[in-house]
Amino acid sequence: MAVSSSTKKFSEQEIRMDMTPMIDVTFLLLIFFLCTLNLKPLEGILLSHLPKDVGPSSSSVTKDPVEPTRIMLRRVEEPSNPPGPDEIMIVCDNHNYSGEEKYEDLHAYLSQRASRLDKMDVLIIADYYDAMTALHDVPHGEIIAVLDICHVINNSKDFKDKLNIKFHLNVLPEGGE
Amino acid sequence: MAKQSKLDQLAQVDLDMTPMIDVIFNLLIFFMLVNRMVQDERAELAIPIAQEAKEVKIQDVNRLIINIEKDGKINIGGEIIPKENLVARIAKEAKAAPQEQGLSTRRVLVRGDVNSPYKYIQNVLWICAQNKIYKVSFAARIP
Repeated sequence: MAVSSSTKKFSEQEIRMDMTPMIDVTFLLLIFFLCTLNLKPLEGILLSHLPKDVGPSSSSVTKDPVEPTRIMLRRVEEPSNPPGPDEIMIVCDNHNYSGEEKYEDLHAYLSQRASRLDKMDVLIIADYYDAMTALHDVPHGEIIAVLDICHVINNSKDFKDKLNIKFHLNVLPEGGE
Repeated sequence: MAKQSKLDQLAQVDLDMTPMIDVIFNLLIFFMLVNRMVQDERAELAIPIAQEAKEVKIQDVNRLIINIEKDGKINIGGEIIPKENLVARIAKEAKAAPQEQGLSTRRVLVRGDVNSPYKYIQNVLWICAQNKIYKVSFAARIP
């Protein structure tokens, strides 16, 4: 009897799991996930609004008394890798901008125009299709660059919220091709 | 004798690790899930850089993230959506959000690859506009 109780006591004492390695591993995993969660590049958003009524002749901008500033992006050269600076031309109110400094030139023009107006509607047209050259497909990055310029002006002290930036939406053929 | 019993008492002060282990495991599971969800929602794309991109810190449950790959593949929540199903999917998402003056309050974040041709982006914008979603924003990397 005495022997069995002491054996029981002994076995109870022996069955003890050492938790230290498990806690170590868990902490390491926790630290790993905490670190990797923030390792992704910082990503933000650029706000934009689509027309509230859709259709080929629905752009609300046309109803406004002041003619909107139309920024048209056109492909003028075949795509190359890496993309050349002259591939995409920006046409804004009959001014053509291309080359390395097209964005700076566009910024200067838009700032100048905004300084003359109380409110300025900007219409970004990237869906222009030239049937003669059949060159289209402006890369998304170019549109974001133009949109960014508009936001830079719109958020500047001199022209705070002066710009009303919209996207032109053409009726697309089946499948958007 | 008195000294002996004090020593015994001291020897019995055992720290209960169970709640701490529970908390750590919960945290671990949370981070693993969040990490997975972020990866699913945001596909690996070359996002264009924009100076004026605003960081959104709060997770917006009303925002639908549409990833548009370089070759025009549409990825929503880690799932490639065939072209023929895209209209139905966006229409479903538009209807899921409350309507305001006949317009959907659903927000859409377009995550397009920097080299993705605009026709693919425009197709998504067009479908959004058709389904009365007008709160559209573009993902851009903060420099």
